[in-house]
Parts: sequence; structure tokens; C-alpha cells
Amino acid sequence: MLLMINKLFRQKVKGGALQYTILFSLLILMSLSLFLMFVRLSSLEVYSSQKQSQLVENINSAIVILENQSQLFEKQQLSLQLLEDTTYGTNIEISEWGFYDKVKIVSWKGMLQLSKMYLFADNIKTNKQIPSLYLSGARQYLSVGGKTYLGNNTFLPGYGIRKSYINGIGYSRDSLVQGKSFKADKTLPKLNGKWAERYSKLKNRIDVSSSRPNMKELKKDSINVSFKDETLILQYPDNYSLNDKYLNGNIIITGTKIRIANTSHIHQCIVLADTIIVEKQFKGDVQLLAEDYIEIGESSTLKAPSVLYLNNSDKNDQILVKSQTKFQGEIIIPHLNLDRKEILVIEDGCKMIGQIYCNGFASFDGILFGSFYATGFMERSRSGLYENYLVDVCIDSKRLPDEYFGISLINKSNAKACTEELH
Amino acid sequence: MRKPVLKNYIDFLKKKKLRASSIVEVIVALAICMILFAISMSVIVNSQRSNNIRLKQKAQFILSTIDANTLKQDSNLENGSLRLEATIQKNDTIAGVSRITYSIFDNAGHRIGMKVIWLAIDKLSHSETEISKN
Repeated sequence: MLLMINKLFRQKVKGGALQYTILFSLLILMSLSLFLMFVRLSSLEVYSSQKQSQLVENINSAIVILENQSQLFEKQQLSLQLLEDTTYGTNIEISEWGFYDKVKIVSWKGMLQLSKMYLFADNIKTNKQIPSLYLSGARQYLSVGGKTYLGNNTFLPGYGIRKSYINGIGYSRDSLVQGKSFKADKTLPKLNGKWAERYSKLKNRIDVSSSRPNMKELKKDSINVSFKDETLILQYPDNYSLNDKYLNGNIIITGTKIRIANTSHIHQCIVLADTIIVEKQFKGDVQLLAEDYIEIGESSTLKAPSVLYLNNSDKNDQILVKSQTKFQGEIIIPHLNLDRKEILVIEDGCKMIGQIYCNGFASFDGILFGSFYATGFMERSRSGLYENYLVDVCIDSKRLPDEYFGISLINKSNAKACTEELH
Repeated sequence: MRKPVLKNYIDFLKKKKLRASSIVEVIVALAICMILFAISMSVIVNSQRSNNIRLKQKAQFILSTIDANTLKQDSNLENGSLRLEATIQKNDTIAGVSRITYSIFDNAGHRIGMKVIWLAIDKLSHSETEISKN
């Protein structure tokens, strides 16, 4: 030990006190600057976090404003000043996605920017007069049999409603209408012209781009296109069957006759063709727009927001929804067809949520939580064909779920709702 | 006879010429060190006061818990070290919606966090009722 101390003292100490002072001063300055840097960085981090949090809030606020100001949807681009601090800004871009609106909201402050996309629909529940059933016609009855349930507001044809007796089944409820009843007009209320216009626009867009089929894309089994990118138009050959395909997002599928197998998954896409056949047990959410014929196979599930739109021009055009199908969305057949032939057939056991507009005769054998507009009903039974008979069906707009948002079929929408975030 | 180690060491100390600093040099060095230390302490304390990182982080956390579904009214937070203020501004230019500005102040009254959210007026009136019930 002593030897060590000895050795230490024998060493020559170079430099005086000032040199040591400079050394220590440098060390102190370095520590100080490191500390200050740490404090500054932490402060910047907190500030950045506050900015990001405010950007998220701005996007949520923009959604609230859009939901309450449906007239803003008339513009394609707008900018909102949500804060007094003018360094914050929010820009909104609105474009059509079939029968819905896709909205891109960009919130920014300086170089920091946050962008999100949402799908907007009409908040149809704000219309208190939303009917359960609207059956037009002046000189006819609506005949109800079995356990038919007509809830909320029912618009009946000129002669009103009466009990019926078909195939040994009478009407088993006390009241014919479980809510208020009104007299319907001779014809259906006119469908909001916006929907036909949107269909035409979409069709024109496809026609313009049809000269550029992308064969490389057609061969892919899985395609996922972000709504932030350009829409992918997949033009399939005639009579094409979509088997084992995963199509998701910003895609328009088109062709003359398209068959969708239940091994395919289609999410948020639009299908536009002359004939669309969906095989049984298919699951997905898709807007199906056709010229001639749409068929939904048995036990299929089409979740909201789905649309079946038939641009019927021929008397044989039809939408057929086969038994046990679950459907959430809108079914629209806009053009008047007074032939005594069903242009819409919804088979037994179908559970629907949404709205149906059928400007002609329909055959309905299921449950609908929503609204049904029809010119007439056809009931086929063993004993014959009955006009304007409803047996064992349920139509009730009161049971339309609060979280359901669709499209405003008749009037201009006065409230919008954000249905989902798009990726 | 061998000398004891301790005696050897004392002899060594007597003979050795150490290159040391003078007393003036030492005093100057100590003074510089003390001044630097004092300055750095002052800078650190001022920096902590002005930045309030911890309080800002707490404020940020509190603000992040507030959204359209969990509105809060004016209150003292963190044992009185923070104060939350909510200002509701019913906007005339955008009908049907209101702006709520949440600000968090520290003891000295400096605003250390802020959040602005917009709400539908019907939702806001419902939330106001809920707040008053609580």
C-alpha cells in the first residue's frame, strides 16, 4: 500500500491549477450542454406530441362538422379553420365512391401533416317520417296474412289494408298496422335523381377507361388498393368467374357477366356489369350495380355498406335474393315497370337491414328492418298468384339500428354520417 | 540494517520537489469553478422552470383522456399544481356545432397544454347535462 502511495507521489504532475480548471470547466460545460440538449429535446418531443394530438382532434372535428353540415358535400374541396391559431389548417377533399362519399381529410401544422380517409353515408334516421312500407296505388288493397308485422309509419294504397286468408293461414295479430298509417300516392315518391346520376357517371368512367385492360392485374389473386391511390379498374373478360380472389379497397370490377364465387372475398369494391351472380354463402361488402340481372345466392351475407342497383330498362330485368341471405344496405330498382311480374324477389328467411326501392312488383318473404317502397307485391303460393299480399313478413323502420347509415332514397339528405375509415 | 519503510518515505518527501501551483492560482481556479457551477445551476433551474417538461407531459396525458365522449369541466388537477379550463364557444359561422377549448395552466398561470375539439350542439348539451348531474 505504502509502495503504491510512494509511486504516486514520485510521478511528476504536469500542468498547474489553471490547466486543471480549464479541464474541469470543459467537463462542466459539456455536462451542462448535454443537459440543456436533453431538456430541449424533451420539450420538443412534448410539443410535437401536443401538435400530433391536436391534428388527430382536428380530423375528428372535421368529421363532426361534415356530419352536421351536409351542404358541404356539394363542394369537392374545402378548407376549415378549426383553431384560432392560423398555423393549423384542415383541408377536405370529397369524391364519390359509388353511392357513398369518400372523404379525405388532411390536417397540418407546418411540416407536420396527418391524412385520413373516411366513407360517408346519409344519416337516414334523422328523418322522423321514414316509412316502414310505402305501397303506392289508388284502387287496391294491401292484404296481410299470417304474422305479418308492419311497424312505424305505413303508407297504404287507396283502399287501405285488410286481413287475408291464404293456404289456410289467416291473419293472427290484433292490429293490422303496428304504428301510424297514411295514404300513399298513386305512384312511388320519385327517387332522388342523384343516384341515377351517380350510376351514369360511374358507367361513363368505366367506358372511358375500358380501352386499357390491365392483364397483369387480372391474373393476381390478391389485390389491395388504398383509397389514397388511384382507383384500379379491373375489366374482366365476358362471363368471368371470380374464384379464389381477394379484392380489397379502391377497386372497380367490371365486365359483361360476372360471377362471384364464395371462395372470393370482396371488401369495399364496386362491381359494375350487365349481369352479376353471387354464388351461395358468399360473404363481403360490395356495391353491385347491374344493367340486367343481379342474383345473390342462398345464405350469403352482404354487410353494410352494400348496394344492389339495377338500372332496369327491360321488363325481364330482375334482382333475385335467394333464401336465408343476410343483407345490410340498399336495394334500388329505379325505373317504373308496371308488368305483373316481380322485378325484385326476396325469398324466405332473408334478413335485411336498410332500404328497398322497387319501382314495380316485388315478391318479399323475409324480415326487413328499414323501409320498403314498392308499386305492388306478388305472393306465389301452391294455390296461385296473389297480388298485393304479404304473408308472414316483418317490415319495421323503427328497428333500423342506430348505427346503420345508408343513402337518402327520396329526399335530399340533411345529415351525413361517417361509416368507416378507409385505408 | 535495513531502514524502516516509513522512515524511507519521510526521507523521500523531504527530498522531493513538487511542481505545485501557487495559492493565487488555486484561488483563481476555485473561483472559476464556483462561478461556472453557479451559472450552470442557474441555467438548469431556469431551464426546468421554463420548460416544465414533467408538468407538460402530465398536461398532455390529461388532455389525451378528453374526447367527445368524455367531456370535462373546469377542475383542479394533480393536487392543485394544474388547472383545467374548458371554454365552450358556440360558433355562428358553422351552425350545429360548437368549439370547446381545453387549456391546462400551471401554478404560475402559464398555459402548458391546449386542445380544441368540435362537437355537435345536441351532443354537447347532452354532455353538459351529464356533467351537471355528476
